[in-house]
Amino acid sequence: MLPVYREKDTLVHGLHPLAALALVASVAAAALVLENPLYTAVVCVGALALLARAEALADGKAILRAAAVMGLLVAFINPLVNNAGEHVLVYGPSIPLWGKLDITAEALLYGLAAGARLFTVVAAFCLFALAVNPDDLLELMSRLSFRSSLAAALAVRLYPSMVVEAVEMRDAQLARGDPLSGGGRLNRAKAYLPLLLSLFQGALDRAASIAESMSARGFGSRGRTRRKVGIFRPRDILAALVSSGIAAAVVLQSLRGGGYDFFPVLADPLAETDLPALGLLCFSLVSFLFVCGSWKKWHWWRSRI
Amino acid sequence: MALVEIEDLTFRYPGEEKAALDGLNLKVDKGEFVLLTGPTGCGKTTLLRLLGGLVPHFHGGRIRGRVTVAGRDVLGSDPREMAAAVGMVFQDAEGQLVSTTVEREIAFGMENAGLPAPVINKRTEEMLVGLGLSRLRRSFIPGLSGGEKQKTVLASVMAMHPLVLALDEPTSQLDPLSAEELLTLVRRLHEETGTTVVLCEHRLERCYHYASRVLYMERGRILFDGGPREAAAWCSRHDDAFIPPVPRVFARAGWKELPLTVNEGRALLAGLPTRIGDFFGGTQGGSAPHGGPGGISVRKAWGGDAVPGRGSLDQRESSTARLGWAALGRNGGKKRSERGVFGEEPSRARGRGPAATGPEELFFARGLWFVYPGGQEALRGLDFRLRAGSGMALLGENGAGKSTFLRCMLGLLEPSRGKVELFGGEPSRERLPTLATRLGYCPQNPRAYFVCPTVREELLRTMRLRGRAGKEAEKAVDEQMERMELSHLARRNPHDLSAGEREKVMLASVLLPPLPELLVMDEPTRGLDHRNKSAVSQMLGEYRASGGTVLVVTHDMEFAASLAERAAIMGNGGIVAEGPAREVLGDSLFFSPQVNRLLGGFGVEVLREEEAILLLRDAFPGGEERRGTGPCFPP
Repeated sequence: MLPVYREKDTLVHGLHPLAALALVASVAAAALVLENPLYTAVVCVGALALLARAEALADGKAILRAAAVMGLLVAFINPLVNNAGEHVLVYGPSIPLWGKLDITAEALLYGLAAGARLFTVVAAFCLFALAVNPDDLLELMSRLSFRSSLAAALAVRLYPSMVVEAVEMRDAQLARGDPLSGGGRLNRAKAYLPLLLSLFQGALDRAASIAESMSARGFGSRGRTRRKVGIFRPRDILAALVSSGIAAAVVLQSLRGGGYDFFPVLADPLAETDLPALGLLCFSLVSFLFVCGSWKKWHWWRSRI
Repeated sequence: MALVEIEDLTFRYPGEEKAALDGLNLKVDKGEFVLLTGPTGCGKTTLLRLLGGLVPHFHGGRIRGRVTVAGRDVLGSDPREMAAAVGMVFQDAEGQLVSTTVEREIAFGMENAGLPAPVINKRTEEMLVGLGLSRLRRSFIPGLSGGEKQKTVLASVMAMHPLVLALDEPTSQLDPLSAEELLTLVRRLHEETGTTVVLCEHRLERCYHYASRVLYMERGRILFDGGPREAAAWCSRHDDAFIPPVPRVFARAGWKELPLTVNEGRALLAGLPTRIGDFFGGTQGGSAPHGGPGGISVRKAWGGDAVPGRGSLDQRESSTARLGWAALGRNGGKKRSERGVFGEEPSRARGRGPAATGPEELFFARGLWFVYPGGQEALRGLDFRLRAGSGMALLGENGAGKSTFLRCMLGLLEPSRGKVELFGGEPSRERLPTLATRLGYCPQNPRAYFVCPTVREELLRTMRLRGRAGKEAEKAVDEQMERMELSHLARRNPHDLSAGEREKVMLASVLLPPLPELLVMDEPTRGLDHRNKSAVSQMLGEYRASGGTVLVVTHDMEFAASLAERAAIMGNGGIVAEGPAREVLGDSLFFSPQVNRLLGGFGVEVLREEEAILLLRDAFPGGEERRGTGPCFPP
């Protein structure tokens, strides 16, 4: 099931959408840009810790599990298709048109690092979906394109209703005597097809009702105005500073050469690390995690930010 | 000049030859509270859409005539322009909400209207406070209850300060308490803001007496337009399905004077001598235990538990006579403790049917617990038993655990603790499809049941799933449709039917041969008017008469009283009361039908309208001068 936003009493949930967006974007950018496994490990742990501070780990469990499986698949497949590297772990057979199927330590570690980066990006997406109020964000985005943001808001709102309807439909058909399973994938797909069509029809009917209701409330009139979105508070400034710190670390490391050499032999991760950049990245993440924790515990601090 | 003026208006939906509104004329003045009644498809919804300009601008169609609202020509104005003058609330809250949080939703219409941000903020706050939504300000809308969602829609509409508030069965998807709360809010808004209200509603007992005018519509025409008292009198002659239960029982008993509410009814009866005591062969004197009218202390119960009679009054009388008019103690002469927690009255003799040969106990749950992954304890050590041939109504407020219980019962949820048995085995998702010939299940949302493009195919699918196909299955389906008067719907898509038709088709499907032993229904009367409820009740009555067992989860006390001889009330994840319906419903302030509240003060546990009619006809000799010889006429 896709992650769905829930209002919770955490600092991440209480951020201005712009500050929250900047935080998530900086974490995702760090995961995408920095190839050094040391950075990948720090950002990955940081993203998971942020999810935990936002009390979103349980809600995002399913998608994180799927991302972990995807990451492991990348780690498993990469050595099969890439036999670069000098440290051969397994000598495989020679396959016509393919070449030698040797498995090298470098390719394996490259796959693991790529999988971990993919996992971190998904974790950042999870944080975005579970802890950033889509309404506030869409309201912010609506200044650019109101109709697109409204379509997105409707999708976010109607998704849980569709899930409920799908479950009700499955249960009703089971009770009618349709096992909806067995006999292979094709038969299962055939059994579910009428349900999907019915669900689709229900969604269309609901879309028509919503359109009618929107029309009755003057949607599409000229001169649409907007109410004021959120307040920018000290916590948002802190989040913006943390985001800037992460972004600065990414830029500093990139200026130093950015990448990390997996081939032909693994480079020393520490030697290819810009220590001030790594320090800045660690400090930014740890300090924000501390702010999140203390905000929850200390009323004085909470009232100040 | 009237606020709303409709002159000689005729409208047809696209592709329809029959006029949805036919030569309609109507004037509504500022500050009026107009209630629209009439059978399904009579044009009520179309009339409301017309006020907001949605007909014809949104729905298309052919229109002739003239409509003005607040001096604005509706036919020449876009619905967007009408939005400031007419606020519309529809049946299904789910199909109206656009945003993800309550305060955003309230602001939506005002933003469309181009109001300045400070005004939007002020009115949003006003609506949040005024309609009691402050604590839900930032709540995620899909997580709200049905009542909270509908209140959010109402707040969003009222924030635009409309001159006319048009509500199309806004409580049809709500439980009774949420419905009551919403209608009270509408009444308050009408009284405090002077907003003109045009309401279409099937829970007439909740709003009939509020209305300053009642319109009765049929086939796109207004057949009656007048005050609620006159409307009740007129409708009692024309079609008494469209008046509240209290005036209906008085009218059917032949009274000329029709009270509109329970209080009015009690006040009317209070002034009359009664022979209820003689009627039951009991004694009189003392004061009424419920503080009701009349100095009567006799507390009598109607004996027996037969399925309510149908058809003419005489037939009903004879069926009620079979129940036994003789005076019985409140618990049928036995104390509750003597009967045991699950003490069942002796089963009625049944000639034939699956119950006669099936197991005595179809279902039981012992010490049933269910805890959701978030830690919420939905069921807490619940004990429940359902015997073959019984009719059981399961009552309780939203969130009491009724749906979770049903899902555990069917095997759709695995209990956290405790023992559950259905048809002698542990229920499970895998086992459920194998029980299809023994168990009929009607979900709360009929949409979940239908997956075929036509009604006939839907019924054939049921037959196929029960292992019947070919000519035999087709014959059974055609016979069933004819028997349940659904043949004209055979080629219609089930999703396009009205709520009442959908419920009937679902029942027709589950009651196809081989007839299941147990029928489990989750809120079958939601969104149905009295006529459709009666039709469903009749079908279930026939099923029960053939030996079937029914477990119905409902909020509808009238329906529960008419159908079940046993009732259970759920609360706090368990069963808080269980026993004969007469005992459980008759001894409640809120879990009781209106007729019980009307006559409860006289010491008789009246649950069904048929019983109340007989009492009102025969047990109040002083009312003779207020009674006609047949159905009453307007004064």
